[in-house]
Amino acid sequence: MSIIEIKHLRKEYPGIVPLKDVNATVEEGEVISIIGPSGTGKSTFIRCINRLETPTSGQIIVDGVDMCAPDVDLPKMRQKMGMVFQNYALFNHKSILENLTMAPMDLLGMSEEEACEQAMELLKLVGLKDKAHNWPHELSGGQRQRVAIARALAMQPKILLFDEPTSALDPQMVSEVLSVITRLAERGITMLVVTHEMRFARDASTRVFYMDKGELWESGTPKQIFENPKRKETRDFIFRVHNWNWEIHSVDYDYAAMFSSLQGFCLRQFLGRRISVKCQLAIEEITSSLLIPMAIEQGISDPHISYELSVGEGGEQADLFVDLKKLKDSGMDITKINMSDEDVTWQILGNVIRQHDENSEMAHFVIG
Amino acid sequence: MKKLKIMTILFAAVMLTLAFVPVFTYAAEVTPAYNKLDELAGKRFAYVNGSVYNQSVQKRIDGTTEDFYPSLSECVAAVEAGKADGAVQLSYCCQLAVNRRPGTVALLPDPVADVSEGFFFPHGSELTAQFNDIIKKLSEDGTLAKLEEKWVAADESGKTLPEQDWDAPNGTLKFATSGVIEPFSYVGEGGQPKGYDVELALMIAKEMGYHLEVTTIPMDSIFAAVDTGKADFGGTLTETPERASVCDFSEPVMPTTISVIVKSEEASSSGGFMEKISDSFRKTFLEEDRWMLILKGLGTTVLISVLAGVLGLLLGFGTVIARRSGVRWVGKLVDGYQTLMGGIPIVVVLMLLYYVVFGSVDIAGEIVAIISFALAFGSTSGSTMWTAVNGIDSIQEESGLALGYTHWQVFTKIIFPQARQRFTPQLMGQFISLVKDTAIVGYIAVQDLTRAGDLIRARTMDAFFPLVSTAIIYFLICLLLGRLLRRVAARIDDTKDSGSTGEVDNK
Repeated sequence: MSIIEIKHLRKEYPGIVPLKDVNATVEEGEVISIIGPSGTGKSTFIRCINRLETPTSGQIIVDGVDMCAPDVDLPKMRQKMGMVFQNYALFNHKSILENLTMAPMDLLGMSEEEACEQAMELLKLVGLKDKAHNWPHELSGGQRQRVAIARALAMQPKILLFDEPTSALDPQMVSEVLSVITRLAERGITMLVVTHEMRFARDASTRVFYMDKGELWESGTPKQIFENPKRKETRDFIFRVHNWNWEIHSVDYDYAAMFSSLQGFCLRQFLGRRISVKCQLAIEEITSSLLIPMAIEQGISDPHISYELSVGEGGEQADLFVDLKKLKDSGMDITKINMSDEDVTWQILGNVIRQHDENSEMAHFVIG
Repeated sequence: MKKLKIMTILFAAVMLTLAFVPVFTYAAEVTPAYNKLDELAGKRFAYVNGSVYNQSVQKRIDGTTEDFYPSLSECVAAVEAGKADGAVQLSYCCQLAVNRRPGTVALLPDPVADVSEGFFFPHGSELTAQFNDIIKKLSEDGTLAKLEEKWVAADESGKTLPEQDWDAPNGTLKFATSGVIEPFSYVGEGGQPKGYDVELALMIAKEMGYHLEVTTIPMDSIFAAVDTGKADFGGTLTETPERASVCDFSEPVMPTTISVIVKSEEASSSGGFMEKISDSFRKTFLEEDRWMLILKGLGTTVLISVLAGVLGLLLGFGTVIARRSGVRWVGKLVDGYQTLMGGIPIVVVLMLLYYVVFGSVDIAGEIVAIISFALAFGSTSGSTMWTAVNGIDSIQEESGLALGYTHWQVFTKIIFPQARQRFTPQLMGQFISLVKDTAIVGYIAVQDLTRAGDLIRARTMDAFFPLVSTAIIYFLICLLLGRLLRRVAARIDDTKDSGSTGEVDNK
């Protein structure tokens, strides 16, 4: 028997329907990543499973119990399902240790001794044994999220639900949390993880759900979803998460926004440091040393510069495309782009770009 | 802590200095600012609240303006301070006041008018006729004259009341009197009301086969007390058509006059600073064991504050629970209650409850005071707690629910403890305010600390020393309660980490 069965799940709010008709089953021990564009019902879906949201219609059966039955003992059922939120939400009035011992003592009837012993083991598991007597506000975001995971585990749940566990974290803290979740996956606990971390979805899960527009569009092994998606929406999404697009429409473009977006992309893709730096360097040189000065020289205040950066398999190399047609259309004369080999910009670019080929539509640089 | 002590001493020193500033200005000779009534035309007069003597004064002196004060002592203080040119009261009272404040005020020799005072009863009371018969009898056999002689005498030792050792087949009569008009009605040893009016009331009660229960009520509430049946009769006051429309008056008990007190010219100070202090201290605290009056008043103030505080806190907590229930009309009800309490002065609430809501119920003023202040504190503490509870991130609630706690457990174990860290300091401040606010309970005949000070002032005619003493006692009691509360709060709070107090998870 499946541990979770969901049939025709629908959730409506006034004016919006985040879940239209979702059907899914989860077997014991599965690790399921739920991916998809923002605002397409992924969080609502996972919150329905432990009834933090009440479905409008449909059926949710967890461990043989209908979660929507009027007489369902929700607190009892929720004890079987740990949940980890985006904003970790440790109890600020309790120490780290108390955060972990409180619920087992109150709800499972554990003695203080048992609860502490278990708490210390769990803290060891998430690598925070030395923080047991600290207070939540003394920990970093990543550390707090790891404590939140340990707190959920302290109730000895059969199922763990993760609602975007890394979205609120600084990029450098994402991996410490993901490695804890990955380790749990290996222990055979059933998990549902709503995530934007594609690498995690691909490497750590047994199955991937692709959700879009309030429906479960496709589910399959990570290999199927990432390498051979059947539906167009899935393909587009997978493609989009591997690509970075940016457009500049003015010589006074927002430099800071462009670079933070680019850095975020590089981090999400788990690009190595070397290649990340090269991508950033290439885009910076092409923009601020080549195209923008050229536009100013030619008296054009609104050049149309369009970049597309895509990362190849394994993150070893990246392809940068510059849309020459759009440049020409905005009035730039790109025949003057050729410079002598002594030019500093060209020398820098030469260091980061392995291959360079131009046709009339696109300039293609291979970085790596 | 050390800083606190220094502050306390500093405060006390400043207040004491203020208290004795007038002492330096005691005059050696009496040189009244005015000698004749006519000189006071167009001047400012001080009257006691509820007094109707202004009507007599206006007939006798042209173009006067008027201010009203709680008792004669304040009127005298106003004259001394130059805030009023003359204070008007029964001549006997004026004479006593001038004797008590030698050199600073003087009595004009000419009385302003003849007045006569009587007891008053709720409309249609059978007591009126019975009283009239007895008053007539006592007047004819010379008892009233003897009584007058006894109470206006300079010798204080003979001014005692008889024990109520007679049988009272008819029960007990409740007598409301101001307690601030010496020698007619004032508070003597151990806070017991006495005076001409009181003894006469006792005599009449004895004659009629009743015992007498005497309550002192501020002048301006005394008619309300009789009208609403809180007292069976009151007195004695002058009959006017307006008053007669509310109450029935008895025959006048003593024809007398009213006089004017004026300021004396300042002369050289008659030294003896320490002597004056000890004199004031003796008069305010030691004479007639007045310290007991203050102690009792203090006890009442603390009792009302603490009980109202505890009940108010429970009520406030109740409003938070009610709001959390999410039921719409319950929320509206709480809104209405808090808006109502927020929009009405507490003194009005107090009087409404006492004279209107509980008008026909025999209920102690202390209990009404506790209810009123509990209602007020319940409203403010409730909204303070609600703000704090509301300010706790909803994700905390969801985390608790997801662990398997019930809604109630989430509230008591997760939401409320965190909210408590935020609202406790505010609530302590509000409670201290409550203690100070109880100073108005005198309006409904409760003798608290402030009222004890009022009664003593009415006797000593010295406004400053009792006021400053009261201020110091309030200050100390608030200080003490504040520290006690902090200690209690620290004990209740199971979070040992004081550093995280108020810390909010900004994520």
